[in-house]
Amino acid sequence: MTDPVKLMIKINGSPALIDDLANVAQANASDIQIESVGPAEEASHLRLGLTDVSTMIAIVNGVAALAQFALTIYKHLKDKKSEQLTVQTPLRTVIIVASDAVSPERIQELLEDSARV
Amino acid sequence: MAGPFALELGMFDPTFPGVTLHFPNEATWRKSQEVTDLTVRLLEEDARLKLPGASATGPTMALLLERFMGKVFANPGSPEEREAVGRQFIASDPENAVGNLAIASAFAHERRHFHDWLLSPYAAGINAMRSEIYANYSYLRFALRASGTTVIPVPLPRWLRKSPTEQQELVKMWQALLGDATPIRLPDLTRKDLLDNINTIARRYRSIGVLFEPVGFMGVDAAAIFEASALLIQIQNIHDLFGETASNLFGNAMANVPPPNRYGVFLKTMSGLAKPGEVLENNTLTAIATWCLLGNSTADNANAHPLLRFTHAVECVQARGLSSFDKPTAEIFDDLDRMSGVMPYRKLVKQSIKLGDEVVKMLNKAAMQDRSGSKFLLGIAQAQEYLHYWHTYMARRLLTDPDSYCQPAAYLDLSPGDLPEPPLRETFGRPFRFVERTALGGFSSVNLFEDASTPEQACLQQTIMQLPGGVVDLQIADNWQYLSQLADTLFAEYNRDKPEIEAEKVRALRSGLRYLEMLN
Repeated sequence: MTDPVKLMIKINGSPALIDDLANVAQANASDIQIESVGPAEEASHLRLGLTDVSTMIAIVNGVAALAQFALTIYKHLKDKKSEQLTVQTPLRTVIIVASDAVSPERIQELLEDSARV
Repeated sequence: MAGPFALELGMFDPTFPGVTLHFPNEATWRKSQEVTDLTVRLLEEDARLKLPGASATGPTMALLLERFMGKVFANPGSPEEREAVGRQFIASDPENAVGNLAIASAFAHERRHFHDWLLSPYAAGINAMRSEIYANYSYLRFALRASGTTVIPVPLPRWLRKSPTEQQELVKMWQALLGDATPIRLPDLTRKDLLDNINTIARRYRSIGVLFEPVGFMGVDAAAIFEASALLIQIQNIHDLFGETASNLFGNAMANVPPPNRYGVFLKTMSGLAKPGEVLENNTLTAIATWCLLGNSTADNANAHPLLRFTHAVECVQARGLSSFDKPTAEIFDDLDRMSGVMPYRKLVKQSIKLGDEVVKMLNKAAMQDRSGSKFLLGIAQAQEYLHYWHTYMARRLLTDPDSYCQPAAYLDLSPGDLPEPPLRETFGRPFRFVERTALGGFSSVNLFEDASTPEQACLQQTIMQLPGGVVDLQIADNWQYLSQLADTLFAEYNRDKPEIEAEKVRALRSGLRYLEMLN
C-alpha cells in the first residue's frame, strides 16, 4: 500500500478553537504533525471579527486525517464558541461559518473540499 | 446573544471601487434576505399608511429604492412612527436584534467606507502605490508564464525567502498532491531584473500593509478609524429608519464589545473622555474621525497614520473637553490641526490632489510609450485617472462644505448626485445561488461557478449592479478589480483568505495555471 499524500494545512480561528485543534493533533501525532501554533501573524479578513485570531499550521497524512478535526470544529461552531474559521491548503481556502455546523460530516466534507485537486 | 457581527456581510474592499456584500454560505445569504424582507415589509406598511400618494397596493419598488439608496436613506415618518417601526423590528427577533440591525444598515456603513476611501489622502496614497505595483507587474507578467509555467507559488515574496532545500521539499509535496498528470513547472525567477521587480512590489505591499498592522496599546489597526466613521453613519441610519431605541441598542452594543475590536475602539475611547453631563455628539465624533483620515504620507508622513492622528485627537479632547469641540466642522479641524501641530488639513488635501495629478501624468506617459501592443498599462492609467478624479471631487467638496460630509444626518440627506453612488457587488463563497439564465441581464456584470451551472440555471459567484444614481464606470471598476485581484494573489502577504484570491486561483486554473499557496 502506498503512503497517503502529505498535505500542509493552515487553520485561522479563535484561540480556543486553535488550542483544541492542537490538542487533537497531539493526540493523533501519527496522522498530524504540528508545524506551528500561535497568534495569527498576518492580517486577515478574519480580524474584522471581534476576537483575537490564532493560527495552526500542520502537516496531515492524507486528506482522510482531516476527519480528526471535524468533530472539534463542529462543536465549537454549534456551541457558538466560534463564529468562523478559515482553512487553507496549497490548493484553496475554505471559509467555514457557524451555520455550516449542521453535522460533523458536513464539516468534514468542507475540510476535505479544501484539499480537492 | 449572538455577536452583533456574527454575520459579517459587508466588508470594504479597496480592490473594488464600490460596496461589497459577501455571503460565505447559503444560510448567511438566506438570513440576509430575511432581514431585508422584514425591513422592506415594515417600511412598506409604514409607507402605505403614511406616505401621501402611495397606491393602495403599496409603494413602488422605485419608492423603496429611493428610501434605501436615494435621497432620504430614512423613514420619512415622525420620530414616533420610526420608533414604532423599530420596536416591531426588534420584537420580531429580540435575541438577534443587534445583528439584524447591522444587516439592515450594512449598505449605509459600506457606502461611507466607499466615500471615505475616495476622500482620504491616506487612502489615495495607497491607491497610487497600488497603481505603481500594477505597472511593475506589467513588466513581469510574461516572464512569469514563459516556458510553459504550470505552477506559481504564491505569494511570490514568501516563496523567494525559502532556501533551495525548502523549495525542493515543497515541490515534492505539491507534486504528490497534484499527481503525475500535472507536472510542476515553476517560473524561472533567477533573472536579477525580475527579482528586483518582485522586491520592489513586495516593499510597496509592506507599506500598504501598515494599514492592517495593530498599533500600540489598543491592539487595533488603522482600519479602526475607517470603521468608526462608517459606524457613526450606520448608527444615524438606524436612527433615521428605526428610531432612537434601535440606534441606542446598536450603538451601545458596538461600544461595549470587549477589545480588541476595530468597531468599538473609537466610540469607547471617546465615551471614556466625556466628562459627567457631556453628551457624545454624533456630529463632533464624525468630524474627529474624518480628521483622522485626512493624513497624507507624502506631505506629512510623521502624522499621516490614522491611528496616530487619533492619538493626537484624544490628547486634544483630554486637554479641552469634548464639548468644546461641538462647533462647525471646519473649526473642529482647525482646532485639531493647531493643537496637535500637524500640517493643516487644507494643505494636506491640496497636496494630495497635486500628487495624484503627477501620478496620473506619469502613468499616462508610460502607457503612451509602451510599444508592446498590450493595453495593460493603459488600463492601469485609466483606472488611476478615474479614481483620482473622484478623490479630487470629494476632497474639493470637503474643503467647500465640510459640514454636510461630517454631520451624519446631513450626509444621509444629501441629494442623489451630490456624492458618487457606489456599485453593489455581491460575492458568494460557494455554489448555492442559482438563477435562471434569462435573469442574468438584470445584472451589470456576472461571474459564475461554471461547474455548478447548467444550460438553464446559472450559479452565481459574483454579481455587480449599478444602483440608482450610480456613477462609477463599471469597466474601470472591473479593470481595477482585475488588477488588484491578480497582484494581490501573486504578491500580498496579508488577507490571504479573501474570496477574491480564491476567485483568481479558479480563473487562472481555467487557463491551465495553478497558484499554489505558501502557507508559511
